[in-house]
Amino acid sequence: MTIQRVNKDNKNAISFYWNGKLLKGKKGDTLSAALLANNKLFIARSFKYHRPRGITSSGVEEGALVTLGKNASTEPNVNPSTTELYNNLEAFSQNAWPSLYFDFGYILNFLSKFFAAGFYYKMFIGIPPFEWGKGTSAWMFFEKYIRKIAGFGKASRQKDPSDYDNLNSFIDILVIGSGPSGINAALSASKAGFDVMLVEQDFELGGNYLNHQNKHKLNLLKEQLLKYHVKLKTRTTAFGIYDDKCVALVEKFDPSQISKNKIRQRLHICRAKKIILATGAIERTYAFGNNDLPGIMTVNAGKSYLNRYKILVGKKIIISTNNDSVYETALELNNAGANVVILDARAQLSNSQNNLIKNSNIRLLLNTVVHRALGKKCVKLVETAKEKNSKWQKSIRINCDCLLISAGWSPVIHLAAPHSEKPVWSHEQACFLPGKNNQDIIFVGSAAGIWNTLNCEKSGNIVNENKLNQKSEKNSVLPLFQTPINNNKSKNFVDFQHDVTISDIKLAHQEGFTSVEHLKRYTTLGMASDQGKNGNIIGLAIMGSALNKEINEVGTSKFRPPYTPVTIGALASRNKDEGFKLMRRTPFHEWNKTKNCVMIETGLWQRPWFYPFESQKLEDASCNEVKITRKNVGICDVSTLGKIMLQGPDASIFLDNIYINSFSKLSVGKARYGIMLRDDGFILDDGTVWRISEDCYLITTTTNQAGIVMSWLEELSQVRWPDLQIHLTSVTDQWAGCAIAGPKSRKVIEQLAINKEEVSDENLPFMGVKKLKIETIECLIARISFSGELAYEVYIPSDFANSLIEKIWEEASNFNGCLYGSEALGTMRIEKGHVGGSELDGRVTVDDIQLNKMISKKKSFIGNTLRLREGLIKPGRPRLVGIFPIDKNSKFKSGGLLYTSEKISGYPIGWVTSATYSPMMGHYIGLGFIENGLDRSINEEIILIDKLKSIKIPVDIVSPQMYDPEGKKLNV
Amino acid sequence: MIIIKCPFCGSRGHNEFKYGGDGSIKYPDLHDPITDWHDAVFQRKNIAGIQTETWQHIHGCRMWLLVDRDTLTHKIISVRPANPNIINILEKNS
Repeated sequence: MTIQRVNKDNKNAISFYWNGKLLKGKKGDTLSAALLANNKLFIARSFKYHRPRGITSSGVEEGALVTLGKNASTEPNVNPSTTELYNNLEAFSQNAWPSLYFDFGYILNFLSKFFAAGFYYKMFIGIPPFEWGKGTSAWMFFEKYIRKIAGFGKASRQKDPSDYDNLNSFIDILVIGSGPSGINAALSASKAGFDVMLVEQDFELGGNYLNHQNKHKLNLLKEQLLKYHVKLKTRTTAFGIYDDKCVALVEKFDPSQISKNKIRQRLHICRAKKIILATGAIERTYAFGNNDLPGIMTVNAGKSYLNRYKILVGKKIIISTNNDSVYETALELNNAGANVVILDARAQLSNSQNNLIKNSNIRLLLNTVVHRALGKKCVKLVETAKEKNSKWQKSIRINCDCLLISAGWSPVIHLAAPHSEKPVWSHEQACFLPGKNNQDIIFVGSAAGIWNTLNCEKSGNIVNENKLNQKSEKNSVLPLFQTPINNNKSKNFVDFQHDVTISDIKLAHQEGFTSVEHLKRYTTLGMASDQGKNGNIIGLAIMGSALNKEINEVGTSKFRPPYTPVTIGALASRNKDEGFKLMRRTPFHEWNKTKNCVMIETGLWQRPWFYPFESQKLEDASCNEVKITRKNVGICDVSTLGKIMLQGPDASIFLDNIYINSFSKLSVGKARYGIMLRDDGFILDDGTVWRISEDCYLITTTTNQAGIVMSWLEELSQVRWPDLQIHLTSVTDQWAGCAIAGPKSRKVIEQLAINKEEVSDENLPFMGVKKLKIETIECLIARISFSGELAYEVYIPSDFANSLIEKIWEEASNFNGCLYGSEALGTMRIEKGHVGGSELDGRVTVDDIQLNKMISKKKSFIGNTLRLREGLIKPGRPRLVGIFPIDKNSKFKSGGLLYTSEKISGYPIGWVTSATYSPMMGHYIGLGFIENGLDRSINEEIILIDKLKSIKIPVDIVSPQMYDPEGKKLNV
Repeated sequence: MIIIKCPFCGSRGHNEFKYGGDGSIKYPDLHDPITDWHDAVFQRKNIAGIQTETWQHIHGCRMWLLVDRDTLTHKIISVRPANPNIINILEKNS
């Protein structure tokens, strides 16, 4: 094949690398154009059969794929026909080994009988006759080899070095596509005063105007676009339209301008009041023998390469068509110096087409189609078929170096599909037209089935209401989807990217996969990166003819976004690394860091985990923290607890309604532990409630449930009990909280208080609450304990957190105190049998955790009715217990299952929810649930089994209050 | 993304909101019998068409709203405060 640039000047030359070799292209080329200009026609190996493939188009429907870039910047499966060329671009052919020209995998082309549609499914069942229905050991063996040779390009395993951005915008009218109808739509709307954005997936505005020989009209329109302030975005693909006209666009930045550290793509969410789809149409090919040979492309590609890129795709060109759209192109190719033969499937031509080629030396053969193409790595010869007396038979052979196909046009209706009724098959035009859709999504131009440029321009006049209901026009087209003569000797491709052939579709039919959705999945038709833009309709037509049905009866599979492939990086945009999720820091965060604190993520929170001394490990550090706290005093950051201020005359009633225990009798200056249930009777959350004044309470929640509880209380107050006079305010961020726990904690508090007597056992008894001035700052203090020690929680206004914690720490240091993190906190609460998040997992009742004595009998509350459901009160339900290993040296973790020694498999009788090494006991301890709880027989042997960690140990079931069960330490 | 017109904040994307549940349920009184509670908590219709739902404008005014939404098309037909007292106030002022 002899491809050449029409103008041979060296202006705007660009260097790029193809398979490592330096080549020259021109600014404004696509990668395909530059490869063609260098006579590189054969650029890829096919997916399954490793057949030579060439450039087939000049747009999104391209059949050949390449890999761009190297190492971390690798981008596999890129469409070269939409890739803008830039200086030093590196591109590689893919799916070929050892090289594109000599590819070992080509052997598969001759073994293709074994790789027909459904190959994988059949392999899953087993290989007949040996393994049929028995399993897949052969498949397991062959799989790794098959995966190596079948497939697309390889993605890099390295981190993507590029940055991506996102943007939201609002606009009156979004026009998608900048061809003759799109530009005119944007102009007419903008002239009428609307705020308009015009997006174009190509790097140049103009759509089909770019393929015209004369660019004068386009240049005038471009000037107008600027004059009327239409917002223009090129390199921007609208890949999906979502609910409420929310359009997802991905904007690629000029690749020649992206240096390192710069943003590569931007995800753009645009909300438009009206969306104009001027998305054009895609030219189809049809299936005939070896229709995948390099040198075979669409007629529109031939036109585009000639007029836009000034590349003549061949010297001896055959054009095969079934419609009128090719005649102008034929003339242009002929005028550019090519020898052109037109094969038209139709019996006669209109006068206008005849006149167009009358004075040229173009040869026209009517009633003729291509039956088979021949050639090795490029098309050399075409075998034709001719219709005589309504019968098709093989006809003459014609030499060529390029074969251009036009078998009709498919409007690009993908974007509107999720919001429309099913597309309608137009027999007259041999294409699917948009189904009835949302009135704010308007099709114009060839996307609406309007074919000639002038009419497309007119259809763009969207402001003129009369033009809105433009009907699609008649088009002289003879449906043509496959060669009319059976052709079993060579492969007739339907889907180039996935190597689906006519025989695969016939096989699917033969095996009963006749519905479009089955056909698609069985043959993988249209499931490659082009999503069947070229092949789907051919496949449907072939299935239709096998079923003796029209295409409209066969239907079409649903178009789903994205329209063209979108980089995951763009979808993630800034939500990666530190931006992956929000980070919440406690007011003590910076101070904690100065104390060598190791943080742990708890939901969004960064929470102190442990404070290692030098290079101490987690368990050593936290055991140390427990020991010091239990002996002297420890300070823990508890700011992450949810804090809700509840105010109003009906606050007590509200609390009585939501908690299982009573609050109306709680005196001012006192706190109480409370449990709240969900409607269905299971525990929602626990925490303490502090009565600050007659009608003001501070509710604390667990860290994890804080948001859920707040929202739930708001729902109750607004929706269920709107007449209760209460007000809820989240004050989690307003108060920094620290627990001061340990036998010497009162001594620390005494040093902080202005008057020691304020915090004496008498003035601040267990569960007492008061306001306490530390230095000059008014704080809240409550004598409550999670650790089981004499302990206080001090809430400090967040602004003063860092200065006051320093003061508290100073005093605690004087009593040989320590800082402790969530690990030590967890250990101490397990030792005490206090339930935490892993016990209250949403499937646990108050009875299960043995706190049913707390339930008030004088009132009802949320969940009170349904907690008494049969299954929730039946005897034998798993109840909370403590777990000791019998061999004190053995270790175990949460997640283990409990069995009796008689039955150590199957459904367990219990499970471990929390486990820790207890420095006070000197061995591992756990909390868990077991059927009948402590009422189990003492003689029974219980085995803890954790298959994931290979643990199988005998354990004792003990009371959950494992340390200081009488609670003496609360009142030292 | 669905746009919900919050009566307090204006039109916002649904990612500012939290879905609640069936807004047509009348929850029984706390003392009502178990059968009433059972029906209110567990019996749900699976409507193909317009249903009333509760949503909370959780990243906005935090108000609970009643939203009539078509489950087939995601079209939102109406949005109003779930608190009947507030509806009355809004109506009085308008």
